[in-house]
Amino acid sequence: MSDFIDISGNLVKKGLKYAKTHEWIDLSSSPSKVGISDFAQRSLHDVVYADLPKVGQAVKRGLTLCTLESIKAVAEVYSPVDGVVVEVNAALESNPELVNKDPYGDGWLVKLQVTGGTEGLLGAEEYSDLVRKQI
Amino acid sequence: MVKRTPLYSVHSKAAHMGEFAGFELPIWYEGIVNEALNTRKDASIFDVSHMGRLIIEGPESASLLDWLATANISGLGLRQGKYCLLCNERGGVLEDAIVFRVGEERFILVGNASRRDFDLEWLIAHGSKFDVSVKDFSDSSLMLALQGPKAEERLQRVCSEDLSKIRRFRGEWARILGKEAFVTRTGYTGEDGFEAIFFSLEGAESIWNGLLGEGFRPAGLGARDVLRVEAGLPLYGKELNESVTPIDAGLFFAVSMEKGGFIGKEALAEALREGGRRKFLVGIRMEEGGVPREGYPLFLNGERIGEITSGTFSPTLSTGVGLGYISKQLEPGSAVSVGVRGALRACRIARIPFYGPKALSPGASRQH
Repeated sequence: MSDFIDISGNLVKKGLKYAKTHEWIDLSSSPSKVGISDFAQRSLHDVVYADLPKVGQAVKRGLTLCTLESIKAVAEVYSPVDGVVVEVNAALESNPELVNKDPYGDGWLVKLQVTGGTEGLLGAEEYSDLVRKQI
Repeated sequence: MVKRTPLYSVHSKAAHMGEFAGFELPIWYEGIVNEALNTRKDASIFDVSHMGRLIIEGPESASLLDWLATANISGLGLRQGKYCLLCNERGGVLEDAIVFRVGEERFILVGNASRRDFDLEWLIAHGSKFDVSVKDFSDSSLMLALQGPKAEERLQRVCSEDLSKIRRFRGEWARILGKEAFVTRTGYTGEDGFEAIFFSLEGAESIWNGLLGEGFRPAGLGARDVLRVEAGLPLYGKELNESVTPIDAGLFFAVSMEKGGFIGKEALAEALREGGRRKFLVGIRMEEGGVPREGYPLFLNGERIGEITSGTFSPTLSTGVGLGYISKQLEPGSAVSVGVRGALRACRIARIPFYGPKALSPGASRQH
C-alpha cells in the first residue's frame, strides 16, 4: 500500500496532520517535524530561500513560522500548532530547493516541541479533500 | 478585457499563465530557474507578441522620430536599430523603445506592452504636424525572441538569410520556416540572440512548434524578467517612469545631444549643467540570503538612501540581485543594506549588468 494519496499528481502523505494553510506536522514523534505539503511546494514553485526562525523561538498556531521565497513570490508558512522551535533544517541554507524536491522528507523546515493547538488539524484524507477543491 | 497573443492556445496547454500589462501570458513552462539557465547555456524561445509595434512612414517620418526620441534616428542606416527613450518636456521618461529603419522613409518602433496605447496616441498627436502616417500593427503580427548562445545555430537551420552577417542592433528580411519576417540581433536577456517580427498571423502555431523542433525550449515571462534583471536592463514602470530622466537611469548613452531639437532636450541640458543625476540607478547584490524585492528600502549607515525597483533571485549567480535608485553616488562594492521584512540584510552596490559580456549591454548600440 502506498504511503501517499495522489490528487492529480499532488501527493498527500499518510500519517501526517495538516493545517488548512498547507503545512504538515508529524505528531508521531516528539519533537515534531513541520514542512509544507506537495501541493504547497508546487504552487510556490522554485524555492530559492528559506528564512527560518531561531531555535528557542516560541510559535503560535496560525501565525508566521517562517518565510519561503520563490523567484517571484514571498510566502508565509504558518505554524500548524503552538510550540517552541528546537531545531531548524540547516540543509535548506545551501539547498532551499529541497522543499520542492522532497517536501515530506529532506525538505522539512523545523522541529517543534508542541505545547498545544493540535485540535482541528486535518488528517490525510480530509486534507486530500481540501486539495481536490483547490486544484 | 484581458488580451491574448496569437499563441495563447499553445501556451495555455503547456504553461502556468498569468497577467502582465493587460495580457494573459505564459509565466513559466517547466520552471523559471530552468528556463533562465537554458537561455544562458543553450537557447530559448519567448513569445513577445504582447509588445507594442508601430509603423511610422512618410517623407517626414525620420524628422518626427528625431523630435520624439532621444537617439539620432535620421542617422540610422537601412535595417539598423537603436535603443532610445521618449521623454516629456521635463526630461522625464515616457517610454523606452527600439526604433528600426526598415525603409528610407519607413520605421518600426517596438515598445512596451504597457505603453502601447500611449505610444500610438503620442505619435499620432505629434505626427499631425509632420507628413507621416502612424499605424499600430501589434495585433496583426507575431513577435518571437530567440535568445541564447545557441540561438544563431538553431535558427539558421530554418532561416533563409545568413544570420552571422546580422550584427548587433541590425536586422534583415528573411524567411523563417517559409514565413516572411524581419529578424534583428536584439534581445532583453543579456544573451546573444534574435527577435523576429512576422507580419502575418497565419501559421503562428506552426512557426512556434517548428522552432521548438529545432531545439529551442519555451521560456515564459518569469524567466524573461529574471534574465533582464541579471542583464541590468530597465523595465518601463519599474526603473523607468516620468519622474526619472535618462541621466538618472544611467541611459545617457541613448541620448544624442548633438542632433537637433527633441522633446526634453532643454531639460536634460539643464540637468547636465546642474551636475546631471538627481538619483542613481544601481545594481544591488545580496551578501547574505534573501531576495531584494520591489519597494524594499536601501540604507547606508542607517540612513535611508533609496529603494529597490526590481529584484529577483539570480539562478546564474545563485544570489539575490536587484536594481534600485539611491540618492547619492556610491562606488560598486560599497556596503549597504536592504530592509527585508523589518530586518536589515547586508548587500553591496554592484556593477550592472550583473551578468553578461559588456558588449551586449544596451550601451553597445553606440558602437554601431
